[in-house]
Amino acid sequence: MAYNVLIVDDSVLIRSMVAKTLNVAGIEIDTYHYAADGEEALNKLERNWIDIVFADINMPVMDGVQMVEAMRSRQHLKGTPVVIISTEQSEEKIQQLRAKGVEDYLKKPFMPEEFKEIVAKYLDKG
Amino acid sequence: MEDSNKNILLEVLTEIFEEFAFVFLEEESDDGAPPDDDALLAEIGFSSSRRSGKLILAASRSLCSEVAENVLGEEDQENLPWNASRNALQELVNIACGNILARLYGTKENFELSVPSCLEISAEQWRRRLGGEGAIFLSAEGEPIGARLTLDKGKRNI
Repeated sequence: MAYNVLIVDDSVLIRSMVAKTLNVAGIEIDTYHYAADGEEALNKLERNWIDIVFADINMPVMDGVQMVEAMRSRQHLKGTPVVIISTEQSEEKIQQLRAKGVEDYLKKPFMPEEFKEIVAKYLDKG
Repeated sequence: MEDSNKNILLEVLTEIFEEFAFVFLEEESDDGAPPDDDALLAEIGFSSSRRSGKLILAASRSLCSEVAENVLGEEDQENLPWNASRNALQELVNIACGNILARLYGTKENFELSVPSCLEISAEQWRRRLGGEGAIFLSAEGEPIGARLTLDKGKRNI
């Protein structure tokens, strides 16, 4: 099965790197969507079917946490899995993210195997 | 800066450049002369309830371009996005900061990180920002890299 993914990061480098890593991990992607901040991501989510979102936390305009809060307040986006990719590693922060509706967390720098596990966990459920 | 902190800074930068950018670093023993061509300096601030500080990382624009090429798998510099060099250094300082804080203080302390900034700097600014105690100097393929971790007590708005 091929998936539609949304990659949200203000760094064009990281957006490209996440896409390449998904590719290297052998995950079949139908369409890559990209956004540079949470606000742009919400616009993309309103216009496209997205299976999973990979997002940074620290972004200008609207950060990753605000984006997740906005998604979880909208009935039709409540179920879309969000995986945060960040350098922040505090347990408290990760718990806060989970409490706000983030499914999972990947630490930078990331590895292809970690994306495989994420996709198996949230998308390849049969 | 304490020697143990310097060692962690050195370890983390070496690992991050290698894992993220496929660039291998060597420690420099000299006083950290600026690069011959343009240099970029990225900065990120951090703060918890107990401490605050900032990490700066500087390198030549050509080395930053090489990092961007490696990360994007793009061999032709002309095909890189216009701000790829800045983006590369900002991302390196961002990743380094998160990893350094986790190694210095564990994962129980909750830090807020700022959005990293990146500026073009002159040779004089390189010497001013990286001169004196506390900075470390490395090199990659003959290009200098400088870094400085500054720590303060108490919370600060970042």
